[in-house]
Amino acid sequence: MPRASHLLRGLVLCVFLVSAFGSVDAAPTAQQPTPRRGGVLRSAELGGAPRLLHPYPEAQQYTSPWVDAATLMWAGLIDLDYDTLDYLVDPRTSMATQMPTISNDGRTFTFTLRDDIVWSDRRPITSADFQFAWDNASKEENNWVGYDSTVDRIESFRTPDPLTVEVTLKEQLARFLAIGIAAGIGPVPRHVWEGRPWLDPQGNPEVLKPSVVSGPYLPREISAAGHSYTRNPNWWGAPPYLDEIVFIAASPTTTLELLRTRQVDWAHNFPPAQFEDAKRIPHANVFDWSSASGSYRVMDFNLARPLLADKRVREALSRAVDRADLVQLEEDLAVPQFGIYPQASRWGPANVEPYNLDLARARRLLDDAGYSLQGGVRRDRAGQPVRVEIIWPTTSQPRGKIATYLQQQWRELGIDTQVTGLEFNSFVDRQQRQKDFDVVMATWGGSLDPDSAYSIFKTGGTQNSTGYSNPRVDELFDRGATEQDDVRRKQIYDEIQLILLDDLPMYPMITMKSFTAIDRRIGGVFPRKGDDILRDNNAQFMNWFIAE
Amino acid sequence: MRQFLIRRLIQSALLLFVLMTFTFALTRLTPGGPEAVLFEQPNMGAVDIERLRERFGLNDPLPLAYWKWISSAIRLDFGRSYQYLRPPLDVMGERLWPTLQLELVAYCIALLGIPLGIIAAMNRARLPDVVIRIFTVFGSAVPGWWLALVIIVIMSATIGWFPYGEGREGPIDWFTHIILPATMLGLGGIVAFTRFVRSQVLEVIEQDYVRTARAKGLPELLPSWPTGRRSLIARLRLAANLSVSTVILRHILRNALLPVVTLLGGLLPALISGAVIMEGIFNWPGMGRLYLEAAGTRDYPLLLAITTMATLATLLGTLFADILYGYVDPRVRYG
Amino acid sequence: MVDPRTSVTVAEDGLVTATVSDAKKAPAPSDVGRSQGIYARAWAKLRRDPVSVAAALVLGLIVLVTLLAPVIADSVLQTSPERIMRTPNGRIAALQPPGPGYPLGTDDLGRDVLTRLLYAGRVSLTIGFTVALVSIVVGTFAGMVAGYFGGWVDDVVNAAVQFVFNIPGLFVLILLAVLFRPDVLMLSLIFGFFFWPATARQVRGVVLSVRALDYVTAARALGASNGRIMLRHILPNVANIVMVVAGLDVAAAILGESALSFLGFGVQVPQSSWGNMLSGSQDMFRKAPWLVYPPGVMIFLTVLCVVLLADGLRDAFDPRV
Repeated sequence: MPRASHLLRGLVLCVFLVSAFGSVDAAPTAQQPTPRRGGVLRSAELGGAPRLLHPYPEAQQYTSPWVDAATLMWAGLIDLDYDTLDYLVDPRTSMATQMPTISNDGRTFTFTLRDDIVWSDRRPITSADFQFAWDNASKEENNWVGYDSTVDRIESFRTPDPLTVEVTLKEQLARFLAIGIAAGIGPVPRHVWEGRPWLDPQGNPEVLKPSVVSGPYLPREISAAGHSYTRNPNWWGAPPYLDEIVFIAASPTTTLELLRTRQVDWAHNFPPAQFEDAKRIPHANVFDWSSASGSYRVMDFNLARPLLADKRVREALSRAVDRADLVQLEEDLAVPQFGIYPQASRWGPANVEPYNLDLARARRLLDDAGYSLQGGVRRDRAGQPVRVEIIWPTTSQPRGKIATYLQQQWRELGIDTQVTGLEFNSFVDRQQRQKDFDVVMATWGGSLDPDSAYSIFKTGGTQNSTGYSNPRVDELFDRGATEQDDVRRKQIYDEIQLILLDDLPMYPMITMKSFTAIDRRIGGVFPRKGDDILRDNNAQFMNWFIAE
Repeated sequence: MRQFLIRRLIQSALLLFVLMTFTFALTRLTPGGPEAVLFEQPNMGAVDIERLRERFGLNDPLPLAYWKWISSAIRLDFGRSYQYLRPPLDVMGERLWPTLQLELVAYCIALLGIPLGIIAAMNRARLPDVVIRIFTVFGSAVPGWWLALVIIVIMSATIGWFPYGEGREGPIDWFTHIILPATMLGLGGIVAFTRFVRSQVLEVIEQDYVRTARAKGLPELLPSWPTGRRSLIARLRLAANLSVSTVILRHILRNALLPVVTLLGGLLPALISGAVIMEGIFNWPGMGRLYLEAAGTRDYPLLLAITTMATLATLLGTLFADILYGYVDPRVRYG
Repeated sequence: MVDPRTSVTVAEDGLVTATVSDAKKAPAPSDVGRSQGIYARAWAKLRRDPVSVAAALVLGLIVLVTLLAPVIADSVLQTSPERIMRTPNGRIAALQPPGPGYPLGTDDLGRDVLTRLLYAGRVSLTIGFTVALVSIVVGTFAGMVAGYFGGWVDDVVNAAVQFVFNIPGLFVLILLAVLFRPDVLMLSLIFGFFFWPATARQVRGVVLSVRALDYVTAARALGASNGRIMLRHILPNVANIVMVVAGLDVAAAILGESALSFLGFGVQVPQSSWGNMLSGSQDMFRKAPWLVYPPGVMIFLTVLCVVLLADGLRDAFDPRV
């Protein structure tokens, strides 16, 4: 699974927010052929096919292919603009008439639905469909993956009339965060789903493949080989050009080969090592860009270990790393990362200490900390050689590469490093449950809102593998979640980053760039600041067309 | 025969039971579990992990969990897959037909080893034999999956196409899409068949009674591969001399049936295990990939269902093969 | 039961094939005195077979070179398998084609491919030979006691053999690789676990035919202990078939390790084996073919030699040819 361990967009960017064409959808190239309707887009990708297409899946089914599918099938109340990185209402794809009105106490958001929105079977979409969805998704036993981030923060969900949805949050949260949560519940066709079991594909075939959707495309076929979508004839929004979109599950060797031999039009994702090779395909447009919700690689230190409890040791280990090397190892498809938010995001840039490469300083720090070099080997005061174990998940080979690099760099410091590759589930177990490691190769990120990082850094956070605990940081995260003023909010998270990079429980390394390769015959394709050109790209896929 | 069958069935049942217990124990001994996927979600709480473990019965004491599983597994009820939310047998059933096609075609290709072995043996130490032996030795030395990848890259680079996935548009399309993966899969089979049949035929040729038959003047099957500038028709006519029923022919074929039967018995479990690697390379939507995904996500119900059914298939396949041996080889008698 | 010559195994691609050892009949059994003659005769025949000789030489060369890998790396190549090399401008010398300084180029971490190839050979060959060792030690012991003592001992061994045969091999292999740390020792044990029953079966067949011979009965009548009989009379006859089986096991283990690496299990970086070098380079066919073909060729060559040698051994011991 690609990027297995990152926060998949924190569900604040719930897939019900299908972005609009955008108010201005300027194509960057000088001449674009005239778009025409029709055609099939075939795509090859790693990651397999979705297990089922339930609009409210459990964690087990919430995979990258599922998110692709949901982007095509379900519309949202409002949309996210990846240029301004803020929410907006687009008359062509949003179900709400305007941005929600907010109550005085800032906790209740009232959306007014358009009166012309219909399901794919022509029945009108009303607030009753929203209520039906909420009634089911809010039940704990239905295991919705968004339960904690959305349901748990909503106090009440009311639909006083067929065109009004009223969401009250438990507390007043920062505007961007709050709107995302309030708009996070999308409708489910009640007239089809009522009376059928919510999570049982046998009792409810809609769970496997919905027959009635609210978005521009209907699912046609879903199997182990891939999934395909066909135009929704009753789509109420602006019509897309493409008739059909087909996703084919492929392997690392074959994804790009399929594009090269024109058996597909789009290599959605492929191994970074093949990027240079992709650029040599004459009929392909190859893009790479930094996204605002990109994932970054980081090494977490286990603060419970005596060796690593000393910040000097942590700094020494960090100063043995040259980020330029890491960028090169990632095939130059990465940029250095200094804080805990990607540089391309609104929250990223902060004046934190970069801990650049400085082997001499690293050696001095280790000496100061009491670990002296004896015969080429670092030993503690008792004479025991210093040993560090790095664990990494074997599903992510790049992390193994970085770990091997670290092993070599730390050898320069006289430290003996063991690199342990673990199967993914065992890895998570050792990282999070047992906390049995010295250094762990992690990947964080993937969210547009800074609040979602709290589970990594707050005291006792469920994703806090380092054991970090700082009451000031806890307090700042709490304040950041509720701060109404954007400028002050940025300051809060700046301070968090400063403190974190000062305490150095983890060392951020590089943020991965997004990249893809698509046949030139597909027109209208260009990336924005989103992570993926299909789903984080202002619904640009509706602008894509076959240009022969 | 009946006694033999009953004894074997009891043995098989016992064996199945032991194996089911064994694989169940394996899954419970593992560090980590299906809750790993929860850690990817922000805002997830410890209570969610507990809830998941409760829901999947992972906190039950081992004997209780085992009893719950085995008592329903006996009735072929394996619960619900964590990923698919459907009964594992349903999910497996969908993948069965593609795997069946692949295995059957691979088996047919493997059967080509029989005539190859015969030709090699009849032409011992001459060119056909050398060529065939080189082929079998090379075929058994190269990693099959790697060969498949090399062929894909070569095909992609030269003819700008390679077979990917199932061919849906008509029989020709189907054939072109299945032939490469099936050949790669059947490579091991061809090699095994060729070697075995060759040695069998060689052995037969040396037998005394063959010498007797020759002394008596009975014609052999293929006196020698036609050398010189004989026409293709003439060769075929010679080869078609199969209608001449000789002692040799009967004995050869009877002995050649042994690996045929063994492989047939192996076909059933192969269906379940589904060429894991080849399916991944050629994007064949079969059982093999299903198992890999189940292992990767710790989908215990699906995992256990697949291993149980695979074991069952192996037992049945071996039993089936053994029964067939009884008919094919008169020396084998079951009391 | 079933013809003991045929055994069904699960090949690494999941296809169940008949790994029919063409050791059709066991070579004519004999007592110790004459068995010396058999060995001498076999050795002479082997020496005269050019293919076997060539295979043995190449195999020996491969083993020698990999054994000496540290020496070669230090003195001849002056590299190490782990050192990340750099270009003059300070960047990592990643994916350099073969050239001065790196005879086979560098990998994606700027390490010398040739050195890594040699060290990887140690891992792969260790796995291969260890697996064969486990298989013949356990298998010979099990087959001998089963065939010699018969009765309940035979039943127990037979039950164990059936148990392992009927495990859906690839699945449990994956499961075990997932659950246990895939280091070299563990992998060898796991593979060995799946390989020993075939050996046991072969050995048992031989023992059964030897046991009934006159001189064995005579030895027993003279009061020789069971152990002595097994060791001096039966074991020599078993040895030749075991050699052939061992060879096939080595080959199967090396191929199996590469398949396991392809699936993502098996030996993990930074430790290198031919299998994981091969699978780790599978998306580099166009970009860096020097990463792709050397490990493949090494695996192929090694397995080829082992198989040819095993074939040659079998033919050498064949009394009829």
